[in-house]
Amino acid sequence: MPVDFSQVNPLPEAVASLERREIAALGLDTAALEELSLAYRRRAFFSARVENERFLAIAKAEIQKTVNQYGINRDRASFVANLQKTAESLGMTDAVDPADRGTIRDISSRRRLELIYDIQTGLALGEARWRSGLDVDLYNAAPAQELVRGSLRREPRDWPARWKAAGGRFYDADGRLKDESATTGRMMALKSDDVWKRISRFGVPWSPFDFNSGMVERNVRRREAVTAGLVRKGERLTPPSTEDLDTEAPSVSIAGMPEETKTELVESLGDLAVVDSKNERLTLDETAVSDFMVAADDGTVEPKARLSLGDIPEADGAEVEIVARDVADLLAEKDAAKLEEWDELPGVLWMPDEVRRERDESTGVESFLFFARLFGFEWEAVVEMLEGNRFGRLVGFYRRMK
Amino acid sequence: MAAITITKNEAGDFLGKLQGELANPRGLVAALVSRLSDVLVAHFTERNLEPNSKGWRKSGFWGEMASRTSPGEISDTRGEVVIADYRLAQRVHGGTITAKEKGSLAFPIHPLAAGLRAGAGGSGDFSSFTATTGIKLFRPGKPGAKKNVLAGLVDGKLEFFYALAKSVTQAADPNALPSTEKISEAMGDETDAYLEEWEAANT
Repeated sequence: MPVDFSQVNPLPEAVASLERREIAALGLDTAALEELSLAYRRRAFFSARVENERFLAIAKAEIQKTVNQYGINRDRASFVANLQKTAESLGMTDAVDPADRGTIRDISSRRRLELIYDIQTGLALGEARWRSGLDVDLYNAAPAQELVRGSLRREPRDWPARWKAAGGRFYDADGRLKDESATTGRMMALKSDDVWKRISRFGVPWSPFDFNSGMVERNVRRREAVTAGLVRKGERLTPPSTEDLDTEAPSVSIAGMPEETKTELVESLGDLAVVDSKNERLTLDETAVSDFMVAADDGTVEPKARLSLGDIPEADGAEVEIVARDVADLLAEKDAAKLEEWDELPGVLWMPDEVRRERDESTGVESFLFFARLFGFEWEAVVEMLEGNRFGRLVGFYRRMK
Repeated sequence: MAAITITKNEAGDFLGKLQGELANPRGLVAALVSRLSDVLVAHFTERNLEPNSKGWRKSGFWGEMASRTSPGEISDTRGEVVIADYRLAQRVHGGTITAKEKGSLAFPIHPLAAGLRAGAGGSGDFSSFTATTGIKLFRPGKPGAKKNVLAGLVDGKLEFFYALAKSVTQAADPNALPSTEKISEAMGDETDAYLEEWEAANT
């Protein structure tokens, strides 16, 4: 059996998985991030409370190098060293509360950077393994998987309880199904079973299933799956579709949002978003978005028609400056306390130089520009935002604004 | 980076003939590739669960090997398993690693240094060790002192954190990959299992 070390062949699905993820410097904490839909989070490259796009772009590039196996020194220690240096050069270490130094809240700490490395590489590689296992012959050879420990933890989570709560069944050491009341045993299920998504903090059927969990999925061979009653002998199985993972539209929670805000937000998005009142989520209608946009001959994308929000003119920098100042004044009158909060927002939005000067006087400009982008000025940015990556930010800003 | 290829020769002449008669020869190759991948993943995971030989913080190297192992291309006659990590070659074959001109390789000799870069790793003079521990590294310069080390002061006391060398020769790790016997046994078992299924589906 030849072992060939001469080829450089990364796992293509892992490479693709990372390429699909767009930088999302949302600056939201973990709880707020979890309000965003899993579909949105699957397409975004972010880290809790990180608002610096450049930092995330470098982190993503470093992760891509390790997954692509580009160059040497692409291990976790090198990632930590490179990102610590990046955080320092971007002035991010100065912003860390002294009480948080070295903890998981410190973006330059080893613990935090190792976590980013483990989660981002883990999810990309996990997706690659899972997708490759959907080849019909590979799937029939090992149609199920088992949740097992892959790394030791000092204080392991109670995974059997989580498995049970997610609707998982337990099997004995010989792989036979236990009584429904069982609370321990081997945790096995078909790869197509939604229990895998339900146990995952990230909503995907591959590991890692949670931060620092140490739990991994192990293939269950077909013979074992037959013993477990998961497959009938001789039965030819069809691998599960990946359609829901590939096409699920991004959505965000609007739970707890004041009715007035909800109405305003929904009206401003028009047909582009659908409200799920029962689950209090706002889902982007991607078909409507693509119908809304037309591709020009030069490859750029333009709107078929403008969203309606009064008569904001097609503005050059000077006009933006004037309107921005008005809006800033308006916002300042409205809620001074909120403006203080906005002061903490980074200058991640594009703005012309003239307007940038205004920024020091009022961060309301940023909020205005956000809506200016949405409603008329920068259509490419609007497309980018509506197509997923910035959708969460839209609602995030809306929340802050209100 | 490793790609381990299975050909129908692996299954022996008898199976080679049988394979020709199967309606779906790719199915057998896929089953063998899948099983080999599982054997490798189980082996790497087992190694990942071993405690660090020095009792230090673990690097997670073997866990990474497990997560980077996946079936590759499969056809009717051959298939491969990919271990997408260039570092495995060094473990399997061993070899000499030499520092760049004027540079040195730094090896942790203290638990605090495990998994942290002294100053290399594409980071120039930046020290991940110092950024993490707050301890500044230096080469002790007093006469008679060890010079091929990086030390630091901890509560006013000198401690050695890294050994420096121009090159290092690492021996091959005989357990980097599962034994041939283990793989052969798994391949035989998988072939039996495949034939049982084939029989059940065709009778």
